[in-house]
Amino acid sequence: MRPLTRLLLRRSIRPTPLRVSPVQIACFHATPTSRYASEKSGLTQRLRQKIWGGNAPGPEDPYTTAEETKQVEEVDMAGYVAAEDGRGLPIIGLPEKLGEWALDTYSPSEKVVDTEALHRALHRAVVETVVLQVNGRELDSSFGYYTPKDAETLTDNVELSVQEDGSVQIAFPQPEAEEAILSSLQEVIPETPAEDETVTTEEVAASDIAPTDAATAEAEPVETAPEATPVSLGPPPAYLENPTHLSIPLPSSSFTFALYKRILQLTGHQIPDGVLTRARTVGDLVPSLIAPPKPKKLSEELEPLLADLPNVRLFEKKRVGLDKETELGRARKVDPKETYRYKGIDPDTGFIGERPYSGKVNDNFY
Amino acid sequence: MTLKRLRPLLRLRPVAPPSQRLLIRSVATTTSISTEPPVRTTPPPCRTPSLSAKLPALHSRLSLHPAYPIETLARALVHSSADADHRFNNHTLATLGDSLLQYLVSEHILTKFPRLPTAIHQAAIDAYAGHEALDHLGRNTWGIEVAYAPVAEVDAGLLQLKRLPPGEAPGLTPDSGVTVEYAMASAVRAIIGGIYLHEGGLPAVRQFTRLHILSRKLDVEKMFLIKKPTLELSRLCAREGFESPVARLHAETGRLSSHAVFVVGVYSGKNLLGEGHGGSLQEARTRAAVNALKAWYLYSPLEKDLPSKTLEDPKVEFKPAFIDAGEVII
Repeated sequence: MRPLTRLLLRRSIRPTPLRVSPVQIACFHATPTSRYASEKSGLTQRLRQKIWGGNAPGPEDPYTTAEETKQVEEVDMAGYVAAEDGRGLPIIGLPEKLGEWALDTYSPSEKVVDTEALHRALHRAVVETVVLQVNGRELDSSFGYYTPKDAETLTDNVELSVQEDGSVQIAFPQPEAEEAILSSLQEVIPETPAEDETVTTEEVAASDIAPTDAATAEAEPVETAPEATPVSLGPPPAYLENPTHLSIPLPSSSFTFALYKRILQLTGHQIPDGVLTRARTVGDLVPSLIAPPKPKKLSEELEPLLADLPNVRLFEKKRVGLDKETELGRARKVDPKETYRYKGIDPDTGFIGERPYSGKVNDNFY
Repeated sequence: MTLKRLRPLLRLRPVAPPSQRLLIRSVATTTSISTEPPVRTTPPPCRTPSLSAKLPALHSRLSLHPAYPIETLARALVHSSADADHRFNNHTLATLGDSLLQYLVSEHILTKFPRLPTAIHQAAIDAYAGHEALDHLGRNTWGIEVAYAPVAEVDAGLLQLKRLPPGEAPGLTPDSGVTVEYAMASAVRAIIGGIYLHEGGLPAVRQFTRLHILSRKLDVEKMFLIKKPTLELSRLCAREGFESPVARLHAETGRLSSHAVFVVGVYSGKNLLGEGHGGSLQEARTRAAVNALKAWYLYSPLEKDLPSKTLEDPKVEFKPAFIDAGEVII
């Protein structure tokens, strides 16, 4: 070969990545991946053969995805109006509307807020837990998901007290009360809805003349919630005035936990772990349920006293300097026209802006 | 002695007061968006005394009778430069109060010092009931605060006036501003006028004036400036028919030293008219003559009846006041 051609060949062979133009690089990246499909019989295939010996897992051409083979669906665009916001558009992906979650929870969805109701619930929980423990029941599994939590008055007149020697005494109004309480804590598992539907359809098909009978027949297998007895009926129980049940010691962690479970089930209030572990008596749990009333603000205390005084004027907001100035007649609204507004420097004319207090534009900045 | 006739009120061009001016506005049409503030249906704070805490406090501080309304007190604090309508400013009340005050103070001074020269008499009246005295009374003693400008948001318990810009002289037009001193004095006069109207007339005003105005201390003897005391004294003695005054040395010490003290007495015959001391004989004689004249002019009768006594009860026994021939004319 001639030296010149050799030189030329060498120059052409030597890689020159820096001299590749940006446009060319862009084109290089924008090449569709299906380009590699033509190389399936090339390096990739040979490697697969060598590695796996014929039984290569996965698709032969892993670079071509199924989506690319899919056909684009033809949609009729007639009458289509693009929406400007999301209002009115169907929400896809949620079986229920946002905000409506049909999940069953152990605790009620709404917390009990009334103080008296909380005390009643606490007393009930304590009585039930003590009764279970006295009767030797398993505390860990006593209060389940289906334990009835509707309002009842069985535990109202049960008196719990701590004796001088430290033992807990439980006094029932009637001898049957203990048994009644135990039986009320039996879990009542409701019937599954499928069975109810078959019963209903049979009844309806049989007789249409008496729909009321059908309704009652439907109702029997389904667990009906007993009518909630209003808590305020009758005279207030003794424990509200004399809360001896609050001084009962918590004997074991399983007792505490069972009690907490029942409180949660009845009231919906959660008690922090630290409080549970540190609590020694039932009364230690009360601050987590019932917060002390907020201290009265000084303004609330003074308002009735000061409202009658003619030389005292009360304001809802704190008086600031501007209020005093307004009262004196000294406050003035800032007139935007009187402020110095700078909008820039025009190289030809100079200052751009508004300077109402001087008529002439001053170019002499230097 | 009768009350001075009230000065006739000047009839000014009728101008709507701020309270009414805010009501008289063009109503915006429903189609256009009005950039003006909404039409007021209640009076602004500057004309709402019930909103102010300062007014009941002032009322109580002055121990005004419960029959004295807060509204009159609020009106008394509005100068005519703040509101030209005489129904809402203190002009008429101030006129009434000024008349009463001038009368009561002048009768007090006249009965107390019947021989007081006219110029000093006028100066004494001004010292009790002039602009500066009443301004000091209102601002420092009564604690009336002053508004900066007569705008609508101002508290009704503040003295409202249009201030005179610095460097300007007070003008006669309604739009010109006034000094704070003048406005404060007018407010004090207006409050006194209100006492006359609401608290049962002259007896209440007399008591109030005695407590607040006439109880103030005034050194009348320090108001004299006698230019030629010896001459004046000799003229006085001649007029009154006394023997001509003679100065006699009472005591002296250190005549030849640098700090001599001479005590000289001026006699009319055997009666000592006045005594004075000085560093020289002349000075002592001058001072003695001045003291003699002051003793004459500052004569105060022990028993005196105020003429206004008869205004309350025309049948009461009245002892006429001492009337002097007047000051000596040189």
